[in-house]
Amino acid sequence: MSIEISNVSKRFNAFKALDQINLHINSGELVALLGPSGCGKTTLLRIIAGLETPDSGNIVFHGEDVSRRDVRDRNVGFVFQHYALFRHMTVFDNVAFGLRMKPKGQRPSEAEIDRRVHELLGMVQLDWLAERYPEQLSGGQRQRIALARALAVQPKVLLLDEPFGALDAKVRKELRRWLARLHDEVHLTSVFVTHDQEEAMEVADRIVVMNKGVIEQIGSPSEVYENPASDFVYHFLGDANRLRVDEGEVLFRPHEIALSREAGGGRHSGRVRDIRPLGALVRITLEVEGQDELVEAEVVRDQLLADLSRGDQLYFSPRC
Amino acid sequence: MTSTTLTAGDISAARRGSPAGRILLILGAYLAFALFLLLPLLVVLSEALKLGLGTFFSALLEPDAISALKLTLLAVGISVPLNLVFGVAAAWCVSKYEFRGKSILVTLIDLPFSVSPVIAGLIYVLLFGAQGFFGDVLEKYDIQIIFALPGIVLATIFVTVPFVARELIPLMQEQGSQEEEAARLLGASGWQMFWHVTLPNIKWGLIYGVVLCTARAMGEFGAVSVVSGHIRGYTNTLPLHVEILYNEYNHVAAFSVASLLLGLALIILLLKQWSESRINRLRHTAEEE
Repeated sequence: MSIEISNVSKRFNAFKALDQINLHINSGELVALLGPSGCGKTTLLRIIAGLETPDSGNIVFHGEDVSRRDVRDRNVGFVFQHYALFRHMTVFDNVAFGLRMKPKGQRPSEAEIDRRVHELLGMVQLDWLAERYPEQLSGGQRQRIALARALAVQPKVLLLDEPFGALDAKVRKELRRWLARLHDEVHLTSVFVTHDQEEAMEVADRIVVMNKGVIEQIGSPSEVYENPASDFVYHFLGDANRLRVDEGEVLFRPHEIALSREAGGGRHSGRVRDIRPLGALVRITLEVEGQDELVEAEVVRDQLLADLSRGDQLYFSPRC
Repeated sequence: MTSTTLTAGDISAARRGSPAGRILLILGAYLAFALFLLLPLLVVLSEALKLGLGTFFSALLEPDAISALKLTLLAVGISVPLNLVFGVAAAWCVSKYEFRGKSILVTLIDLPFSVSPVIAGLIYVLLFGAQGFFGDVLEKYDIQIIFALPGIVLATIFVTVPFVARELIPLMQEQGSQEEEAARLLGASGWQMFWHVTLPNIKWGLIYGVVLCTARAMGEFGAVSVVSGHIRGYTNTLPLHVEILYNEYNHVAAFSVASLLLGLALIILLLKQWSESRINRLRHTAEEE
């Protein structure tokens, strides 16, 4: 199901959270709303869900205007950053909740609910936790239960608010790969909010970069990375070096650099301040004369670096 | 987990001070407890039983005492459920919504704690009494509030209104409203959300608040004394009945009825202790999260 967001604005007293947002999300797409905290991404997600009402503008689900529709009639699945599992219910009852709340005519029988819940728990690979309470689960398990609970009512749209934000780095990585795989299988139109560019890059089909209540750029991960529409997008999507040359400056990413021991060829000189191994790459921090900002270079380990030490003189040129 | 217990132990070890001082303080606490709490209770009981069980029971079974007990239970039975509803509504309002004048509302909920109960009673007399603000209207329609049950209930409600709300507001603020939002998103109606999600989460806090509210409602003297008119067999609650008996130098009967109140209070104290331990257990698991 497609989502059309047109001219949506929202204020919280004097603070302009969203300013004339227009966005089209295709059916079956996985879209990331990416931006720093306070950029309005969560507010936009909550407006799509119906948890907040926009001051102006419309939300249209598959040609149907749902702007005036109550949360419970929008049929969206929502996953919270802090899970929001019902703490006094077992995992089973949490997942069954949406089915049990249906009006009498549409409510499945208990046997059917039992079958559906176990199917969902099987899908998130946590069937063995059915009788536990949320407090007995790890963060990653809780978030998968929250996802199963959201999917139980067969929503037409899945919305995730910083779904991995409260998890530690390793679990976060596992879970987001798992989510991407899951999305490949079920193809549910999904929107997730994140402030982590790596996460957006890895999971999303398209990225919507937001800043201060407006959309800075919409595009595929490679589009926004390679052709950033603004300085903000450039800086937000990865580390950046700023090098002063003559009467201007050059922006380049740490991996867009060539290093050499020899001067010449228009290369700039720099003194090695720090050397850090980062797995396959090595990060070298350089002090450059004439500017306070340091330059970072991320390069493949090779002979050049083998006997490099702090204080050495290196020559570099940006390759962009 | 182990490290936190260790630090907690270290802190208490540092605070414990010298053993002599510790024993002295604990003994002092027990002495004060015995002198100011236990002794009066024993006096009440021994005075009540001074002339034997027969007199004790006849004081309790006397028609005026029975009617006072009935009136007390009736006033409690009306005012506590009403305060339960007010308290939950007020706590919901304060913890789930942002609105103008919220801090004033929170302050007003506490008003009965700071106003003397006698003043509260007087306010109702000035409002609903024969010479009061609404006196003429009430007389025209032949509605009796002061010196009757409605006045007693109103005064009791006024005095006990903060208990439930005060207990629930911090609890509900701490829990936030995400679970409620999740319930709505899953298709629950407002009532289903309240019944299946909100109520189970605040259950023990609510019971605790209601127990405190009941204790206070049963023992209320000042406010009720002003509005009741002390009509024996009609508008006398248990505390008022005790006072009348005492003023008539009928000490044995006074203490007998007092021990009845005492018994009710002890039952409530047990209930309070029980609900409190349940809340603490909940808080504990919440902290572990």
